[in-house]
Amino acid sequence: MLAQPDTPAVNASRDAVIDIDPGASCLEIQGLSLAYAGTPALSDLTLRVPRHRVTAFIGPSGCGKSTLLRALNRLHDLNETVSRRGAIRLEGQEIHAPEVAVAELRRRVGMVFQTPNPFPMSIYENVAFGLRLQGGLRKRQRDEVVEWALRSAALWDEVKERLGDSAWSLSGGQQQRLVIARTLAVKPEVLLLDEPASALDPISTLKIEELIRSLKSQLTLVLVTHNMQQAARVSDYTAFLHDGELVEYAPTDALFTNPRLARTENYITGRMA
Amino acid sequence: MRRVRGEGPWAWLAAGSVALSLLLLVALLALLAGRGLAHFWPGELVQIELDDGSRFAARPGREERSAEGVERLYHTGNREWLGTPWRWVEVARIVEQRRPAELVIVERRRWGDFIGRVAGLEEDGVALDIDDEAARWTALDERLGRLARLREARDALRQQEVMPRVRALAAEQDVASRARLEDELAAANAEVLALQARMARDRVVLESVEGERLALPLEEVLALQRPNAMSLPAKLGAWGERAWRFLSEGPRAANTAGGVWPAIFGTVLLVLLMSLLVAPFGVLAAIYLNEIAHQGRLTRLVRISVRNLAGVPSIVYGVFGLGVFVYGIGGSLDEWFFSEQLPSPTFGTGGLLWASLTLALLTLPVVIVATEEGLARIPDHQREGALALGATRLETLRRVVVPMALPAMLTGMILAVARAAGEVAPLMLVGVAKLAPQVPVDGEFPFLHLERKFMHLGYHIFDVGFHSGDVEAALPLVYATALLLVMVILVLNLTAIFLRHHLKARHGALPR
Amino acid sequence: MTDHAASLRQRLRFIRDRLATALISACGIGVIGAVLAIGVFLAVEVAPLFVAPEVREQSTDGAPLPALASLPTDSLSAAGEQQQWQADGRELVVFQRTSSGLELAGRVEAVPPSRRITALAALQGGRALLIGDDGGGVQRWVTLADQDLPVPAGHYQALGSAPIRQLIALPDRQALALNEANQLGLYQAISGLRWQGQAPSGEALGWDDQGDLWWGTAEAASRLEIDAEHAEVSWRSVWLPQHYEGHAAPQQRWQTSVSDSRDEPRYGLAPLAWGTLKAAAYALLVAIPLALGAAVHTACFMSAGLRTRIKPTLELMEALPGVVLGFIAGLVLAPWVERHLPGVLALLLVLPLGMLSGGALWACCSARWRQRLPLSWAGLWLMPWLALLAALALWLSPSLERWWFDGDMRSWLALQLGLDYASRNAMIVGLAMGLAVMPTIYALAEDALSGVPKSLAEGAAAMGATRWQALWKVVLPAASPGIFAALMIGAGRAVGETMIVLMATGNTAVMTASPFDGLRSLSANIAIELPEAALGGTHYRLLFLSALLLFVFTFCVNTLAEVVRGRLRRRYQRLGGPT
Repeated sequence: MLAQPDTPAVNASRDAVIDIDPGASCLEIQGLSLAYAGTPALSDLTLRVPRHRVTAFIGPSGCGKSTLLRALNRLHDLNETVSRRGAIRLEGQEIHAPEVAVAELRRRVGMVFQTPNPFPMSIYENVAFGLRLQGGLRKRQRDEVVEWALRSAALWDEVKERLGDSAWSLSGGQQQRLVIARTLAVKPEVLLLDEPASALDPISTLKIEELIRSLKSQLTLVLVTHNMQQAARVSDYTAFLHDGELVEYAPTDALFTNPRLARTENYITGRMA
Repeated sequence: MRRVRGEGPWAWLAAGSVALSLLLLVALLALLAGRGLAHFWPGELVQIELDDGSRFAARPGREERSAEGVERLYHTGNREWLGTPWRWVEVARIVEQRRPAELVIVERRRWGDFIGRVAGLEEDGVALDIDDEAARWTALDERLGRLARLREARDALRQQEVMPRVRALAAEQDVASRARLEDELAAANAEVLALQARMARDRVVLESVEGERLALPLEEVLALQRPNAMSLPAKLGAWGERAWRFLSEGPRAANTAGGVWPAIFGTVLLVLLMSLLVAPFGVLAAIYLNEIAHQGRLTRLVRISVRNLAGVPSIVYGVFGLGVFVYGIGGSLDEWFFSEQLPSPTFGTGGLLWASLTLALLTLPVVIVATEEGLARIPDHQREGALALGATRLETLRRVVVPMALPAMLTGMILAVARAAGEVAPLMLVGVAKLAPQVPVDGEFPFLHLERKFMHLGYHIFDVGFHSGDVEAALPLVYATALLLVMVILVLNLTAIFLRHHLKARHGALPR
Repeated sequence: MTDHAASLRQRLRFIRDRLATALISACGIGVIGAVLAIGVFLAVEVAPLFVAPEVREQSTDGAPLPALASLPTDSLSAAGEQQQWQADGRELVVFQRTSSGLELAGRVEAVPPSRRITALAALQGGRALLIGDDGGGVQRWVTLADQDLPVPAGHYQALGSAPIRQLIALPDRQALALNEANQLGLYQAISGLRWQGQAPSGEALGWDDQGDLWWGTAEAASRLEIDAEHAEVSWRSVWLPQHYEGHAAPQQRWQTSVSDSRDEPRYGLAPLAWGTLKAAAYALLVAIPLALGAAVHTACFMSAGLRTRIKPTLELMEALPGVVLGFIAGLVLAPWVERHLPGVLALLLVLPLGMLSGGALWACCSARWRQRLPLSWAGLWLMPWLALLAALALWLSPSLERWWFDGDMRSWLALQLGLDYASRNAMIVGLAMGLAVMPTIYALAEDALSGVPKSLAEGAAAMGATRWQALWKVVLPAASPGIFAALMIGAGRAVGETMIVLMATGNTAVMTASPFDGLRSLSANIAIELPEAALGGTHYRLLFLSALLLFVFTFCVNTLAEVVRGRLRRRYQRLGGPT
């Protein structure tokens, strides 16, 4: 697949991977390997994700970027065939530690999927879903949080008149923003976005990208995309993954204008299949 | 043209199969509907004179053609003189056929129908002197009305005055109040007897075409019609009334007459109990299989087995129910709790509880399969969406998965109910009865008597059709019962089809 | 709201989740286990039938000998119900019991030339006799109602080679045989030698008031425990012809409703299995052509709009309860067919011809008519045409009977073909159950056919094949596993259906192939007899065995169908069809 012979993987990776200051990092991945029923999907991944920044994972399909994202909020727990090695730390806390409740972890690390997946309920109930799970809020407080979340997701003005309507009556872009609002409502520290705009039209995509940029001040965002322009537009740091390995990790400007490795350059210039 | 011919004969045979199948279905339903509904119609009565000079009055029935000629079946009633209420007559022998308006058909408490004329009325054994036909008829109507009022008063008296005191007497210990109660009871009983004596006042004198006379107490009359004199609206009214009586009354005359109310009640109660049992367990088992169990080879094997159990003959479930529930669990219950009644069994014999358990087991695969299909149709990203918001597995199930699978579960339940309602073979082993004198629900503690035997529409069809002495009399009843059962089941199935269609339409709009 | 309360609430949530998950798992496993336990339970109930009988010596620890009823002392004579037998060398002397006393009925050689009879015993009921000879051979003879002399009915496996000294008749048509070598054997009338072993020391003493046999000497006696509750049944005796009492030759019989204990119960499952398969075969004979034809037409020729209405309608037929179909078949169809037999048989010919002639007429019509009545709607507009032809055939029925069958087809059948006509017969069952099974086969076969990717048929059409040719060469082979599965599931349903068979046949356990004979199926037999069978008895367990057979058969057939269907689904996915 590759054009030229590879330099030893470990050295090359180390060279091309920037180091984020541990104090400024929110998520820390160390030596993470994952395999589906024996087939390796990620091998020995190590990187830090900076706090209050947008970090993008790019790479060809099947490179393991979505797998990595799902590992960050332990969605792989549902699949017994997945085996894992290595550590993932959220604010210094190992997320696989036995004392970590997986539901609480997932609240702290929200996730938005490729296809908008609003629940078959009203718009209001969709946003209030996570709040009701946590419990302990009065109706007035809940109303405030719902409004705040919808405003944060830049959806409030479009739906404030019809909060009781079915969420499925919204357009695709609105649905995706609703899903983001729903996630924001439970006040996560990290927001994982798995190709959030790939099923949307260009205008909706633009709105989502704006939203991602505006959310940076509140939380840490991790974005998976195979649209390189999108990564360039919205992210602060970019990691390039290939065949389950981290190839290069750098500030976005640096990676796109001056890639260290030939593999990266081949990919971003479109020479890689 | 050549292309058209080129489809060949097989294509036409295939098309013919569709036509034939539809034809059979239509014929079957038409037969059931026609015969079942015609049973309640007040058909005309004819007076017939044969070539040997003999005469009789009857309601004509079906005809048979044979090599000798056409024969017609007549319902003559008057079983006490003729021996049988049916008579086959060669049509060629009929000399004269008239339809006198004054012919009546009387449905009696005993001896079946009477067909003939009203010759007069008696009051306290004294004949009333009414010559005019119309006046006699009005008088008769009046008296029937009076009788109905008296009967109502008597029943009310029994319900409100007699029965409470009988119950109180059984519970009361105190001698003084017992004596008071006994006095009151005697007074109430005397009142009832007085009413009954007043009811016995009138008698109607009937005369058959052959000349036999009969003075019938009016109280013995269940229904009295002059079909030949009835207008179309009157006939429709009579039809509706008889259909209602069929639905609301109990069977009479060894199940060959009367209604099917206890069978309807038994069927509904049975299916209700079964649903209560099968709904939670079926749904839980499906949720376990689809959402919780490790999706490995074993689960796949279990899934196939459960699917196959839907194809296991129902009689096998009946055998299982008899062996495990009736003899196994029921026998043990009897030994532990009802040993004073042994050797006559309480739970160690077929009954409502065991029958509904057996049916629940029989329909479990149906519910599990339907629910699982509904669960499998829910896209994974819906579950992941809930999980990603910090929902636990239970919360995901309860708030997202189950609400979305609800129509599928409902469809499964309706199909299960439809299957259970039509299932008879297993019931024959675990507790259906040809005639259950006591309905399983009454005012006596604990109100719902799970150990009692019960009647069932399907079994009623089998029993009346095959075990009654007078098949000709039973056949219309069987048609009507079968029509009722088929209607119930078709409506249930159509609901399920509608729901499933609705469900598909809804999930079609789901973002995938 | 304090943090403490919040964390407590979180903990509660997780505990609730654990609990509920455990509960659902327990329920799920329990329910599925219960459902799957059916087969296991049936097997457990059946197993005692095939436990080998055993005779044990029960030590009584020196308890005093109870009062015993003595055994017959003369082992060379035996008394039956109507006859008295005496051994004389190799001959059996038979006396008939009459009102005036015993009367010699004749002599018959009962053992091979070199041997002689050494013991006799009349079996329970007195209609069968066990004969032991000096070579250890034991055989059974049965009396016939219309003959003076008994006939041999089974040579059993010999008990060693020493002469039989004594035969002791036991209940349930069993007998103990004791030979000179002090070997003891337990024989059963139908299933022969079921146990053999060394006899305890001493001799048979007699029966106590519990009906137990005591053995030994007057000083040291013990009770013999004979553990042979279901000795009359073995796997072979259930399936092979057996020589029952009162018959001159071995028979396949199922006849359990014996009025008194003198009648021997006949436990042959073969006639019932035969009846089950026969009913299923006739039902499939009706259902398969109808269902496959309808499936092919709906899937390949019918217009899409019509298909969405016709398919659910035909599938709805599956919901018709068996008891209604059975009632129509048994009480309406059976007498009607009996009267219109020639017409009904003519229908079998007229209907296919009618379909073909409909096609031929259609091809001759003008193009305008053909457009108005297209083939895609033929399923509907052929209906009145077929109804007309059917009415015609039935109207002609009496005339047909006059012309060809001498005015009475039933007697013609009996005379010319030797066929008896039972009113409720296999043909009626076939028609009624065919109608019940048809929708099942139809629905599955239609799914298989319409699931074949359209591209396949279109590819064939592009090469100039007609629709029928494309169907025959391309679509049918592709869908054949699905159609096979449909037939399997239909067969499973036909085998297990109870009410239709119960109501539409006379429930006579005969083994003939004639469509005009009645039959008795395993399932109907269970429904009739199980409520009256004594709990735990041989009859009861045999009925459980029939249920187990039905269970195993349908389960295997359905599994096979399911596996085939699963494979087919994956194949369609590979071919790019709808997933």
